[in-house]
Amino acid sequence: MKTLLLKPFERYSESRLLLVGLLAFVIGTILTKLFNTHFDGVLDAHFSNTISWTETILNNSVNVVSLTLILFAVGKIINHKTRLVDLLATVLIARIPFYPLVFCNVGNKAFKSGDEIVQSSLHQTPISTSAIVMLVIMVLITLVLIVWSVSLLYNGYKTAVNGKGTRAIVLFIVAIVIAEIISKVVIVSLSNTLKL
Amino acid sequence: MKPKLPVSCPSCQSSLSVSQLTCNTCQTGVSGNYELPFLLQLTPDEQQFVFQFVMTSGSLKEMAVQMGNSYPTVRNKLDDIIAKINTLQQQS
Repeated sequence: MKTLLLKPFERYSESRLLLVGLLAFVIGTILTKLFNTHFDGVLDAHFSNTISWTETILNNSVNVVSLTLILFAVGKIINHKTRLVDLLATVLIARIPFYPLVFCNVGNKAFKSGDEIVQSSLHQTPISTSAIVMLVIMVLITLVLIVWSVSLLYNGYKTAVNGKGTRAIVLFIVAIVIAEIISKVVIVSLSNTLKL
Repeated sequence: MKPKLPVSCPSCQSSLSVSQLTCNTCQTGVSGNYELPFLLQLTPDEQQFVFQFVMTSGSLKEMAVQMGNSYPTVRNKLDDIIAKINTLQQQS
């Protein structure tokens, strides 16, 4: 069970991982649209009361592509035998823990709570208990899911590049930071170009 | 239980060498100081991996299926063994 949840890359073939990852990507993208969630960066999740199909597909695709390419570039530095397909499978599988986050915004609940907290802060009015409870629950769920996602990503990366030691860990962190910046920039640029 | 061939000194971890060989038919003993070949200096797991590699004609994909592991895991294991043999070669 531990292998399945944290280290599926050691056991399962890349074709099976790709299939599961792509299926999750499609279902996740549909859920992201249905529950108005913006994954506008490789480690970002924001809630709103509306999102277009184009924006949803753009966000999720840019996240997968940018993270895969950056990890592949880093992987090539560590080990020239690194294969793109292994890192694509890694990224697709590591995105899975992000998708359940969308359920925090059922009925735009997360967006409304966030908005209420912002408005209360602006107008110096007391914040309702329900908004605070919602915020705490969301933060806890988000933390668990992000830790799970990053663990999957690191284990997949380690397997794909045969990474060992401090150098591999440092390059992994650098790759995540670069991918976060690049994905943000690309999503904003494309959104402006496409007038989303 | 089949005894495992010790390849490193249990006291100081240095590589062991062969000092005596015995003929199982006539019990003649040969004494000397012979270095263990590289392959015998690998752990039993690594030797088993090399054996499987030969038996599958070097197909890592087939090995991955047989071992129930992914292709990168098998390739990493091979790379680790290659690195270990390189180190042993440099040490000798």
